[in-house]
Amino acid sequence: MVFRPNIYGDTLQWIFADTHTQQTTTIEEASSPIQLMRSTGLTTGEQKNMPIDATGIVTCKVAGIFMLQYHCSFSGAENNTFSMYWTINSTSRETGKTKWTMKSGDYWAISSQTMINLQEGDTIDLYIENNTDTNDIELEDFNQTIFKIS
Amino acid sequence: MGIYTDNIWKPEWAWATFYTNESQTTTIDEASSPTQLNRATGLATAENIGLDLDGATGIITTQYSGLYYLNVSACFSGASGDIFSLNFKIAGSDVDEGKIQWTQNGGWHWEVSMANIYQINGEQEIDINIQNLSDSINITLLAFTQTIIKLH
Repeated sequence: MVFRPNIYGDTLQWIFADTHTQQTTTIEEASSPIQLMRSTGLTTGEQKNMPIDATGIVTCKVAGIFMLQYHCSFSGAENNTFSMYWTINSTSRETGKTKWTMKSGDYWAISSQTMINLQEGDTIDLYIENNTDTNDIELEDFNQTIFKIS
Repeated sequence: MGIYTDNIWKPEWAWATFYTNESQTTTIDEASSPTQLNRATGLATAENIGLDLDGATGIITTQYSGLYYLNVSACFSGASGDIFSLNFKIAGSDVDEGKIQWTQNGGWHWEVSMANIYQINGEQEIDINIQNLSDSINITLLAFTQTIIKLH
């Protein structure tokens, strides 16, 4: 019999992270997903068994079904169409993808919710792309909620 | 012979969904001043265990302390070009966690949602505030759904 210490405690997992500091994601190429810049002012209000690094990447510690949700406000690049993806282990997923066109005015509120089966060590990231050209986009508000359902 | 005692505590579960699809206006008296979102008209309960709803205001009071997932999805119209923000008010304080802002552009309906995970004690109130960051033009709520789940 092999003794394995329970290094994670229980299997409860959740995280709520947010920032309300304006920050720019630089678009270098159209229709090429890149990491959403959200590190400035990023704080973790609630967190259990889900580490988050300085760039906002969250790591799953115990496998299971997770609910993933974000609510963001953006500004800039009027009439440009953007897409945002849940990105697991650097691979962008179609589930939970959002797509919108920035119109006149400062703020555009976007949200997404999906459920994804995650394995231990999987990383959860968010990628954004400008489908129109290479105009940058400004993040104004960022709220991310993830919790393990089962 | 044992003594029979009712399990008066039950599990400390809590979840609820409240909604209204009746049009109602929140009066903005002053720009950039948080005002309670008017949502009481037609406010109905789809599910509720462990939470108390004040039907006259939409304020929810928790019965149990714990970690709560809070979500609001709403649809607004009016005040084209004005910037609004929506936030939770918990235990009497406006909180940044989950706060969202948007510009009420042309078009009749504007969908907005927000969510957070928040530690809330028993018998504390969960409310929702809205503010017009541009001026004092009112905003009309067209559809509203609020979901709360006690995670732990």
